[in-house]
Amino acid sequence: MNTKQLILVIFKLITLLLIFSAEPTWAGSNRSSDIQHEPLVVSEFAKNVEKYAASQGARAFIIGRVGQPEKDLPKGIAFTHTAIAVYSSIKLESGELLKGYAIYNLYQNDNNLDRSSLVTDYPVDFFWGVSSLKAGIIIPTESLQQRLIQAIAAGNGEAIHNPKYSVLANPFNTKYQNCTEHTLDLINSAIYETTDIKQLKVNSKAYFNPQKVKMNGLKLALGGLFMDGVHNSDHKGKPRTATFTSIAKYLQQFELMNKAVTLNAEGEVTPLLKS
Amino acid sequence: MNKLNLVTITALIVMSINSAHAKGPSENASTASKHSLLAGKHSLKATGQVASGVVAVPLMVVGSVGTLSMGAGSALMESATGSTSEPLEISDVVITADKSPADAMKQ
Repeated sequence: MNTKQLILVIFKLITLLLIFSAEPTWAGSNRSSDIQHEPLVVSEFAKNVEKYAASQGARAFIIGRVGQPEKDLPKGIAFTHTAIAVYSSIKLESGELLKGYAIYNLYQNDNNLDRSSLVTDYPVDFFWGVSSLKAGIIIPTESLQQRLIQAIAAGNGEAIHNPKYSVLANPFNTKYQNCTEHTLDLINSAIYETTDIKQLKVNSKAYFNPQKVKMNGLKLALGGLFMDGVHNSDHKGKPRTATFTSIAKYLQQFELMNKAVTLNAEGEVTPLLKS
Repeated sequence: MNKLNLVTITALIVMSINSAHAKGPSENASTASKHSLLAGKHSLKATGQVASGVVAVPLMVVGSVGTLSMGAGSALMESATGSTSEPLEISDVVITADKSPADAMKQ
């Protein structure tokens, strides 16, 4: 190998290095598959989340989890996945009926990260692969809870679902959708009693304030070019996306929220928003 | 450092970063193991049970504030005994999502 060939090989390897390291560490709404805590610890934590929400009389609440190490999350991003939990009558395989929460999720597809599916699961499934045993819990006002349940039961979640997935989806247009944007759209479909997605986007633009995503520009550009599930073509300028916390601020601003807290493995409840 | 070493080290760095981003096993494979892991742990501790949820139907409060003019869809109507913010009953059973459609069809 002569010097010219060597330089070429090293250049190619460095390019590959840049591409692979460009993947945003803030991955999106993948289903939890690899457990990072003891199964019993996860199941007890999930049950504690249910019991906390039930103690507050929450028939529907917005639930968030931390799927990746918190140190790797971009500034302003506290949760990696958001969904809606609904107090339900749950039928088991045995035919027995129990009461608990079912969770309505938008998950990235395992075999195609550019696409998503709607999946109903339960708290232990939701928290199965989390990095931190920390739950985000936003309890809307009772009237919004009832409208959310009606919207979900009426199939609004399916009606407003856009299966084209991007972790950085712009909540003001319909090009891509991620789990948090779907949650926001579903909340708005309940508030405005419509599944007209264009109208919902106009309303979001008028009233919702998304989170600016502070990520390295090169990583963002390379991620957008080379990584499935990461797109930035729906943004003009710096990306802004819906987050669990920005939904809490939105509901608080319009007096549609009873409570927003985090619950940890020790059972400590902490306000999500600074007063 | 000779040329070969330089190329080898750079290649190893690239490969190690690539493997760090590798995806885990598929959800279909993990659903069955999740249930068995939980069932084993819970039986050892003898607290609660683990069961697969087949279907969940939202529970709504009859005549509550915020109820829309449209029907309740697939929700069940439940009479509230007082304020709708009263504590709710939660089963101690750990409910997991049912097995994958592919596994269900094997039964």
